[in-house]
Amino acid sequence: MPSFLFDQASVKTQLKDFFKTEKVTINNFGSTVNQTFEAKVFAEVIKWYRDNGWTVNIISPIIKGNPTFKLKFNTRGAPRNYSYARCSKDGRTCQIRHGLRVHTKSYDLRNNKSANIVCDIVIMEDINIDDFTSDTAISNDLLIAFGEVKHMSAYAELIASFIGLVHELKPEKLKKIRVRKWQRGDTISSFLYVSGLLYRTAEGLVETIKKRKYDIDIYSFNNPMN
Amino acid sequence: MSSTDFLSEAPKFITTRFNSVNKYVWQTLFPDQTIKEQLIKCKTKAEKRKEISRLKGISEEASTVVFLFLINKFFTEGSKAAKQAVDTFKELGIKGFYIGGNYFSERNEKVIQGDKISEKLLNSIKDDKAKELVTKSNYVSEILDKYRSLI
Repeated sequence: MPSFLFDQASVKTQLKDFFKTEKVTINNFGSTVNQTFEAKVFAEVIKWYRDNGWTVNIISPIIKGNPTFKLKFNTRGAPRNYSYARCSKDGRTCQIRHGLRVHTKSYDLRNNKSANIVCDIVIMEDINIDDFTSDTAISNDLLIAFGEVKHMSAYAELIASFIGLVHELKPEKLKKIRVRKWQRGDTISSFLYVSGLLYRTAEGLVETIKKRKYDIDIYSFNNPMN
Repeated sequence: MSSTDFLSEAPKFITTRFNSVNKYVWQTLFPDQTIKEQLIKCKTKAEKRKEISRLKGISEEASTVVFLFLINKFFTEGSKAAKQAVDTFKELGIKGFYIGGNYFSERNEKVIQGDKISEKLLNSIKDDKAKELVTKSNYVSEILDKYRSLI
């Protein structure tokens, strides 16, 4: 095996031994790492609201008589069984929810089937949804913004898939909004947050998003939210 | 050891997550035109074969170090995300959170698990030059630039 900057053969043997020894620990780490990133982004969104002058309270379900902080890492589950943040500022209130089902913009109550999507992060109007079941979706007009979280690097197809989600959930944001006079308001814009980097193909799409002046954000390792 | 034999003992999610590194490195180092430009300098078929073999060697070594860099980042970023989450929640009066049966709080074992694995990974690599390429680089592009200079 040729060597250029280091002894590749030895390093590969050492790596093989490392995986053999640490396989169990790495598997345990891997079993929670995606959800850890989701928790971090949920926390970051809360932080964004706090940093922008909102007062934030965490509302948690009562379990065994005590409020118990519980995140929703699954598409299944009634919202009342999970924690959320209630934010208030200047008489306005909103909620930040984790893993919430939302009706698409085009869905009509007269339709035969429900058209909804479970979003990783949802910023919604402050209404009581304690009677919602696992299958109930919030009405689209209650949706302020949403966030998709991916623990990976982004390629073009991932960015395109996110634009597709925005098209279904907040199509009004896919217009020429971020013109010169545009200023970020008091609420977050819908976003895709990847833990890794944007590959060159993804960067190409992000550039076209900026040129089209869409009101959405792509956050990454190199471009964090806060 | 063939190019990916070292992954034979790795958990499946690692091989799935990083299986495109070789392709990514090859395509980044050698866009079609670069290969043509390199090979046009060779006068005989034997020289061409030798040159292709050299370029593949460069790409394979770069892939190994890029893999090391990315997997190390994967571990440390996992811990960083956990720390940021517990710290923000703590400011809101929440002591910790569960993912399945795993409890994340303060700097407990689960929160620093990624850092510990990264430490073990770097300790297992005895080659200082390889380790330096991983720890002194901030981006994959920095590593690839070093290999690009060998082409």
